[in-house]
Amino acid sequence: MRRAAQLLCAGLFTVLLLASAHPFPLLAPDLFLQASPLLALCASLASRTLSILLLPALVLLASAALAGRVFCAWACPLGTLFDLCGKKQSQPYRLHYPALKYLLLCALAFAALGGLNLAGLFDPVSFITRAIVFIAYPALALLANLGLDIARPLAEQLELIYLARTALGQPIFTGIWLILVLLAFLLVLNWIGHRFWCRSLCPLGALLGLFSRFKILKRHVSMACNSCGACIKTCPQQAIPIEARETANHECSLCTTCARICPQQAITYGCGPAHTALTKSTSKREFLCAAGTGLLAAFIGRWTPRSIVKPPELLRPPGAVPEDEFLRRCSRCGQCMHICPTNTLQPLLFAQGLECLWTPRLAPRRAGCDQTCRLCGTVCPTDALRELTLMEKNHAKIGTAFIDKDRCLVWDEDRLCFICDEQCPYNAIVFQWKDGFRRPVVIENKCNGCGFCEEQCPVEGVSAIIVSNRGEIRLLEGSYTEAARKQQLDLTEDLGDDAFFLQQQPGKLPQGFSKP
Amino acid sequence: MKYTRRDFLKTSAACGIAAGAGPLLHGAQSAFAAAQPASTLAMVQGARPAATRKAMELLGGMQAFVKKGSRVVLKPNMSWASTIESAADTHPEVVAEVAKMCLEAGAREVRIVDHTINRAEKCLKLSGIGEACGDMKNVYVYAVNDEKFYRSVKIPKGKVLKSVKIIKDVLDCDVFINLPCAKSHTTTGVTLGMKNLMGIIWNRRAFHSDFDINQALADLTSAVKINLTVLDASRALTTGGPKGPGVVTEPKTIIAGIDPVAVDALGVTVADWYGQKFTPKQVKHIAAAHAMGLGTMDLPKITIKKATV
Repeated sequence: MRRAAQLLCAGLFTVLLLASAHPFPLLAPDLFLQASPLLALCASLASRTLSILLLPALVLLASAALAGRVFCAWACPLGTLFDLCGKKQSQPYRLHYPALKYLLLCALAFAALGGLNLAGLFDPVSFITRAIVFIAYPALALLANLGLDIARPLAEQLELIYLARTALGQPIFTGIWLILVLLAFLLVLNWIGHRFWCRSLCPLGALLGLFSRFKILKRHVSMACNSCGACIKTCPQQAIPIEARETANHECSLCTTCARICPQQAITYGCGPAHTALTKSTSKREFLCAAGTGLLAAFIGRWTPRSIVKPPELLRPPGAVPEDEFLRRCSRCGQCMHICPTNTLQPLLFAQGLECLWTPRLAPRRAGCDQTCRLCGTVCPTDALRELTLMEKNHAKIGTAFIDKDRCLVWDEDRLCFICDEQCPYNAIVFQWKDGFRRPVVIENKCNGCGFCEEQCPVEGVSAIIVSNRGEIRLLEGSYTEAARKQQLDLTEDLGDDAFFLQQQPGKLPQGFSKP
Repeated sequence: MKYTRRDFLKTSAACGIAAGAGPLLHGAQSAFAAAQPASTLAMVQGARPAATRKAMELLGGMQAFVKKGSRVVLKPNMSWASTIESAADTHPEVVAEVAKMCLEAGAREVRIVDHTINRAEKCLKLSGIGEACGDMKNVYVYAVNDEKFYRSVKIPKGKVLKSVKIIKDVLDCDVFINLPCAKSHTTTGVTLGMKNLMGIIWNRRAFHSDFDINQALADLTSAVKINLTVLDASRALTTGGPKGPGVVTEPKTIIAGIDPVAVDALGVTVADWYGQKFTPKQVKHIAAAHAMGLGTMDLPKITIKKATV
């Protein structure tokens, strides 16, 4: 029954996540992420605000107060993965450091207090979300395309023309290797000591454990117990430390493994008083060390070059709140990158320091940001990206393009190219007559920074037109349209460029024509 | 049935003889009519579907091009995710009418393809072509935006372009009909039939970065067998092309013909581009194609069958 619940939850989680991929309608891909009290806690501590978006987390906390770490055994998708990939063990589990997770939680909380939110790196839901988004999702697309390739000759024969001409866009992400390495590492540890992560490392498990000290639904052992010790050996949480009748309630996940294997059928679950195992509690010294580590991490993590010089190439998705607040809120789950139809949203690795690991950035050379799409803001579980209307989103200026005249085919080589102008959805690129050629120029107050010019620039390698984050609009609240208007930006389409050009140069021949 | 080069020459010769009958009209130039293949075009003014149909009637009907059981590929311009009103794509009524005529002539299937510049689904939707043609039986509308659907072909005549990757459907069909619209273009001045062929190749970037685009367009025209060109000049995007928005005028004209250069040459004259009048000779890529002998841009040498519906 537990396995069924686990598979149901994991299936629901995966389906909610993958089914929300473009172009399918949005279900609730961030449901599980919003339910994580760890993400809620750290985001709230770091940003010193409470978001109603994180209300579902209270459900999980309530479940912990009622029945302890029941989420871990019955619902957590990462736990399910561990169960599916684990080895049956009959010896007491190796690699058991239960205190570690509480210290990690303490460190994360204090780092968050210090303004550095690293919860997303360790949160199990966030972790498995990343694994699915960055590995399973591209792999699925690859497999689907392989299937289509194999089916194509048959489809041609049967004249199923649409099927024969279908090819899915292949999403790709930078730094998949890191996710793979981390996942492989955890799976190896899981093989050595089943559910090592859950027992020793998981800070979400620790948080749920803290809330389950006085839980109501507990493990009961009847007098039939003959202290054979079978349950002690098999408990995946190692929640029966020494004596079979006693349970470490903050570790027990009510997985019912012990009840199933008990030769005496002595184990039941109920509400009455039960024997609680005394476990070694974390010492003051350890607690202080962890807190200190967290604060130190906040100091080191935030004291990066980024905090002094804003890297001009760092483009955040439209609607991202101001950078400091963005980093405090972002859960590094990767949902925005998953939903992005053009695949321009890519994870940052270490280029901007640990603080920015797995946060989303625009990669305009890969693709532009579509004017008819506002999906990234709709899936963000922590409101690091604001949910905006299309109008608002298109006024949330991402940055400004500038032309590298030493690389531009027209400026540098007098060639006939105008792809950037052709691509620009805002008509922000116009012509100026210079040295016998009409040459591209960016009108800055019309540029949204969407990046289609950079994507399509035909120059080999680095584009000759590059979007920097200069002029980006990042608002914690309020209207982007209003802000753009105040800055005298004009981020709408109009009849523009050619009229502009012709007024500038009356009598000149447009490009492509010769004199009569 | 394939419309071969031989058929083309035959038709051309017949037209040449017909043209030769009118020396009074053409004056001294008619002496050269036999030397160059003359071209016959149909130019019809009026409501889009009716004008399209009439234009094909003037060319001997669609059955002169599409035989029973042929596989037809249409290449409208549906590269842009722009609304029908912006005139950046071929009007869906023209595309639908041509597809319908192909089916009436007995085509086994009609594939409507383009290598779209904007996202495919948006292009098909906003251009209106997906809706107008998607429901017709044996008609398939799709974007070809993956390299695996292209095949490289050599261009023996090419001056700057020696080989190019072209949509397989275009290379393998029985009848290829080019369905451009009339637009201004920031790089090539105007975009009519020959420029519309940029939508059947894989690597468009190279045209801007590696070659003289005007010559490359002429080279590309020599690389594909274009059985028929139907130019939708019902509207003309006279500035702001190719994407728009820009000034849209309404020449209300459909031009059809076999000679791809002649269609474009006549197309240049239907509107003022960027507020100026141009002759076909002034459009560099048209002049380049003419020089390669791919057709004629000399309007006096072209027989134009005109009608109004």
